[in-house]
Amino acid sequence: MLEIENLHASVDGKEILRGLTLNVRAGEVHAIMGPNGSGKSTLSYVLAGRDGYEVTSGSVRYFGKDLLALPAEERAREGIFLAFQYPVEIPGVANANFLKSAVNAVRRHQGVSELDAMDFLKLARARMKLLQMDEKFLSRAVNVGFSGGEKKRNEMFQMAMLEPKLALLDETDSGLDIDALRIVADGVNALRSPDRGIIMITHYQRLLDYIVPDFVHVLAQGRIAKSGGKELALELEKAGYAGIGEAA
Amino acid sequence: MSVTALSAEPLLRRLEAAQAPAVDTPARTRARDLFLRYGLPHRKVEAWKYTDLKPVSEMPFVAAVSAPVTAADLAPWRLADAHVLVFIDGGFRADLSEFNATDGVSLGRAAPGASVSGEAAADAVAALNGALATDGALVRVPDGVSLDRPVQFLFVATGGAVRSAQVRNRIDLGRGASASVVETYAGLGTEPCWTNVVTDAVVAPGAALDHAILQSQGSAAWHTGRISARVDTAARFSNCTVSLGAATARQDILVQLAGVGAECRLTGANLGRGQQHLDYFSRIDHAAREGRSVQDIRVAVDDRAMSIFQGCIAVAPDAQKTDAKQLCRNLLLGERSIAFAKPELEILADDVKCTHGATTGDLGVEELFYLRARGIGADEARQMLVAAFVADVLEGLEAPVRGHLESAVSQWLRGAP
Ligand SMILES: Nc1ncnc2c1ncn2[C@@H]1O[C@H](COP(=O)(O)OP(=O)(O)O)[C@@H](O)[C@H]1O
Ligand SMILES: [Mg+2]
Repeated sequence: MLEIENLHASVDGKEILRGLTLNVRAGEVHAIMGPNGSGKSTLSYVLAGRDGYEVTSGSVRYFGKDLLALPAEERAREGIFLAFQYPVEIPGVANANFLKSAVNAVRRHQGVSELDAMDFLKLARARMKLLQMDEKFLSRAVNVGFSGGEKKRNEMFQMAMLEPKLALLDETDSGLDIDALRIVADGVNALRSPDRGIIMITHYQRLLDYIVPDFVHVLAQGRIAKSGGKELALELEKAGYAGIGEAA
Repeated sequence: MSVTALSAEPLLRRLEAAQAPAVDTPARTRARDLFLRYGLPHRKVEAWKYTDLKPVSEMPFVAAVSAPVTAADLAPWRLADAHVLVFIDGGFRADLSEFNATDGVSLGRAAPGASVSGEAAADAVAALNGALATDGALVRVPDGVSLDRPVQFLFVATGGAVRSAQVRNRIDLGRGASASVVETYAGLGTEPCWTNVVTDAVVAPGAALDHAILQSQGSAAWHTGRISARVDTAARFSNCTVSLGAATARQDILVQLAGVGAECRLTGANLGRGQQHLDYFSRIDHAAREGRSVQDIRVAVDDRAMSIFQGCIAVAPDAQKTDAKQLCRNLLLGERSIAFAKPELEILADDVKCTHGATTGDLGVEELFYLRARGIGADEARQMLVAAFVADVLEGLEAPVRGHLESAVSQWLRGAP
């Protein structure tokens, strides 16, 4: 579903991604690991379509189409979901209004009838229950005053509502205690299906105990320096990232 | 005598010729003299530095019968479950109004010929109103009475001719009384017109007046409004002014915290696009001890629209323990939109707490991207963020008034004038 080919991308004129190639097929879970500053979040922003992330060469195809030609909202409507490493606070916009607008924008795009307030609430309540989230989060302003863990859980809630085809989780595990981690992992595992792809960006091997990936990649200096199965994560845990960038 | 003052008399004559004759009273004569002394304020008058009324003095005002207006025409503006006093082109219309006063409350038409407050060049527009106004709304609430429902003054300018409407409202709350009043200014026509309104409010000791203004005039209209409120001991006055219509609009809010422990809360929003020019001017006089004032104004301007905020807080020498907070936040949505914010503090007492601040920015790119990354289109995302920015100033208003202002704001966000 996703073919990234020799991708180069710059931010503020500084080249961050330097020839990244990665293929994700439907049903697969890929973990991307790598040291701080190696370009993991940059990759997720480039895929989600954030302004200011300039692709200088290479290509990204999503279900055969040129992903980079689409504005951010179109990508989301086509089923790409980015769980932000740092979810944004939006004072004055209630979580429920925000999410209802989002869900209905996606539904309009898919030619499905929009959810009315009642149906939306029903669905939202069911999904919140799975994530053990209090309903009061619906009426609160988006992420405002949420703890780190609550923000991450809110991202998972949005993902569960939007049911993406390709989920990009950018360090969704960081800042979570073990119980929260388990709940989030259950949420992600519930989404696993033969027609979905998942890319998990993480710093720690521990998330991979709960969401077992099909592939593990190491990102170093803007490119995939090493790929392997889930055992690669264990190796990295022992040996660290030292040497991997240079070896590639 | 200045050049403008020379043109004062012809303007006054033309306006007089275009309206029902006003019976002379001493107050009217004084107002007339004041206007003739200064004429419409020119831009050298500090308080009018940013707004030039010259186009008003050149409008070809005529006496014309109002276009027919039905209850259906008014429906979009009418406040539900309220006492509604309707004025068409400045004239009271009992047939379209709906109110019933009990408990000794007076509701209806104000007596004409009220006196003008102020003696300076900046007061000349209000003085002209004093000379000409023959109609307006009246709310008088006796001691200890709380008005059961909000009162709406609904002013509608019809089209078909270039008219002026000179309106004089009066709100009087007795000791410990309370009321909620909203003034709505709407336009049905596309011709230029001028609405010039003055509202005098007196809030007696321990009384509470919640006042709101929705300025939603037609796109060619000029609107000048002034509310002067005298707030007595332990009384409370609030005003929320949402200005989003007219080609040029100027609103003066003059509050005198005259008694010990008097409070006021001024909120509002200037929302402009196209070539709109929206000027908000306020002066809060802390004249007695222990007064509190809070002001929070939000501005969102797009295209080539211009907003002006001038907010003066004056603290008299014996107004000790005054607590005044002022904030004006400006959102520039267009590359050519302009927002001026000019706070002014005149503090003559030493034991006071006064803070003020102004910010100017554009919509947050982080927030916009976050919304778009969830599938929300760029336009809708912008609307959501502007609505959130404005929403704060409507908070705390009584439900029906808040709903009235909110729906006007959301219409504006969707692109209606
Ligand atoms: N907006 C930005 N402006 C300038 N440099 C940036 C910006 N965002 C990221 N970078 C730089 O790009 C590199 C990669 O960052 P990032 O993708 O966030 O790494 P990771 O997520 O792997 O920690 C870092 O050197 C970082 O400083
Ligand atoms: Mg990162």
